[in-house]
Amino acid sequence: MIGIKSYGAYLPKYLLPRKLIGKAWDFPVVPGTKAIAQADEDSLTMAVEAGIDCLHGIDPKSIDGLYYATTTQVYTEKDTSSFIAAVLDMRDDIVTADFTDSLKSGTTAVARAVDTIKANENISSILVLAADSREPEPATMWEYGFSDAAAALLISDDENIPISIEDTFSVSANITGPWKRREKDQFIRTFEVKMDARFYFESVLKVINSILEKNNLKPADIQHAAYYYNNPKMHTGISKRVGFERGAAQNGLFFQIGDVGTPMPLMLLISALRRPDEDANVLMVGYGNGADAILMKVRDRKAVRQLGKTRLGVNGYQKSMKQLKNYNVYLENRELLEKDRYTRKSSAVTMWRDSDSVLRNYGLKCKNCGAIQYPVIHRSCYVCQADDQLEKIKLSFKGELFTFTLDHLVGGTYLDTPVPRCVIDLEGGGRVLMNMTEIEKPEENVEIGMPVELTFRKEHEGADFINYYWKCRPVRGRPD
Amino acid sequence: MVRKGIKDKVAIIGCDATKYGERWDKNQYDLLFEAAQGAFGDAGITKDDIDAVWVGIFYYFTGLSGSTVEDILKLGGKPVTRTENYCASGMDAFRNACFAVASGAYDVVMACGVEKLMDEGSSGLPGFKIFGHPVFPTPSAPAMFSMAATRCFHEFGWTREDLARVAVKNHSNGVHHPKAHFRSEITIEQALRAPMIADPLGRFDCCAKA
Repeated sequence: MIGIKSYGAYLPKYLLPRKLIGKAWDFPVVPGTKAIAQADEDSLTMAVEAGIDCLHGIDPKSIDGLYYATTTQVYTEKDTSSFIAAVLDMRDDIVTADFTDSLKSGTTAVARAVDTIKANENISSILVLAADSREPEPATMWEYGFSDAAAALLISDDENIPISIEDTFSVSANITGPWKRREKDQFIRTFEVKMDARFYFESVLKVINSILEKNNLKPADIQHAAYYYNNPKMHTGISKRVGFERGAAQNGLFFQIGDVGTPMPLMLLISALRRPDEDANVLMVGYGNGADAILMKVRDRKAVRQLGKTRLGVNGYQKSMKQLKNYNVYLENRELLEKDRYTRKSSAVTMWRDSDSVLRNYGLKCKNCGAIQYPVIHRSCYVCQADDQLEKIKLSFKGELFTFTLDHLVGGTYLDTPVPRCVIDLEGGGRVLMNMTEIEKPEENVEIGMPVELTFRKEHEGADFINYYWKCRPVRGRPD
Repeated sequence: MVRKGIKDKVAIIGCDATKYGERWDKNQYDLLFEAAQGAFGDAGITKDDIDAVWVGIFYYFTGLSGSTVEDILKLGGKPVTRTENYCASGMDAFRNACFAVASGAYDVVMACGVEKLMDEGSSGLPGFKIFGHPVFPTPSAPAMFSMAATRCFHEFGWTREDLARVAVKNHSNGVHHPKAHFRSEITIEQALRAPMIADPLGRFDCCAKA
């Protein structure tokens, strides 16, 4: 039976209170907060985080594919799914594809993953990742909505699947907005938001009514509905016009996290799955130039709840979020302020050759004495000096600080100056030098022995190429 | 292998150094010329008496080869070797010059070192944009050493005050040396109050750029 075997999510550390936006531009104040990625994050790094959360306790080499959905591609030529598959240490005989250009691409990727598994005997599981980091134009109402996050669903054909996928249905619609031209627009544009709302209701109502009818279900038969929306009026509007039971429509994300775009329906689903009803019918709907509906059924409520306990998910990450005190930090993080930025050189050759360390977090273990060292460039053991006795070993994503300095001289943005340069002893061995991110007042809060987690980030964009690497962060609670 | 060493085989017959400081009006050639002339005078010889030169230079913008020496001293085709070994580049020029004399290959050689950091235009030590691994973090030079200090403080109970005593002693020595960059006393309190460069190393714990 094909269904959801695991899920994961990622929310960046910081929340921007909407009242700071209102204050910055003398706008009418809108309540709530929205999630804001840091300067060293983009949709790709957030998708990696959601993938790590989803694959907790699951061997990445056992998965047969990776589909990635976003409207905020970091490259327009060079796909992201194959890059993330490498970072997550998946096999290379897998299917990878990017689904992009529409906010419904997250649900489209889920539906196509189901089709791919059905159609191929040798493909039984696909990791679907959705992430977005959309840029609202400052001093527009878009700024209250757009936010940053990622979600992951592991779609698998398994005998004991916790949530089965019963059916999928899609509609297509040629809408006039919003849009963003490939090179000429820095920000998303639209003609008329009322017209956009009309398109939304048309497609979402049509896809929900169609899939219910096709499966002989009434709106009251749906216990949990996770559908995309970008303002609270749309949320209640859909619920009323479809006729869902009270409490069926999964809510709560917009006020706290904002309009996260492509991963929105997946995140609402993940929130709903924390406390699912027994044998619940679950509906997930994505919207954008049409809509997708995915009809699911809870098959093993205990197993679903267990997933919630062993993953950070939406809720786990929400717990460790912090509010920014300053709107300017947000502008600087998004590089919307002109500033002299520190750049380094890039090397395609090194990036490719050292990808076992740079991307997959491998080190070397000495067959002679057991010592572990990093990165995967050494030929001799640093403890027993034996030559050519080293074999590759996967290193842990957790560790504690052996020593550090706070560097005032090189690099850094508002939130990470001085830059904490950290020597980390990883759990199980391996001593690595990495920068720390998400640390406020490092003078007071960085200390030897503090536990840290590794997080995948942008290191620099020298030579107009994005160099990604691991950093460490104070623990956000990634499970053991 | 029998290690013979170079004891009693080589002597320093003259030396000199330029004044330390920001020296905006001088380039690397001026500094090298000034130091070399001083050393020749100190030894009572001329440049015609030397057989070869070793020069320690680290940064490419100071000079990429031994020709930096030839360009200014006009030695007329004598062999010049550049050594590059991070902050020990000058030390290594001296060491290899000694070996050359001890081996009997040459009678009189000059070992020198030159760097013109101020001319490159960056703050702090330059170069982190262009050397090292392109992805792994590139701490500044003070940051690299300060990580050892952090750990030593933790393991041995040393403090910033212990480091401050070194800076106070160094400044005190500088007062008496006409070529010192800084020629004033500082107090432990001043050293402790200095701005941070890379925690726990403050401004007086790090070399000034000269």
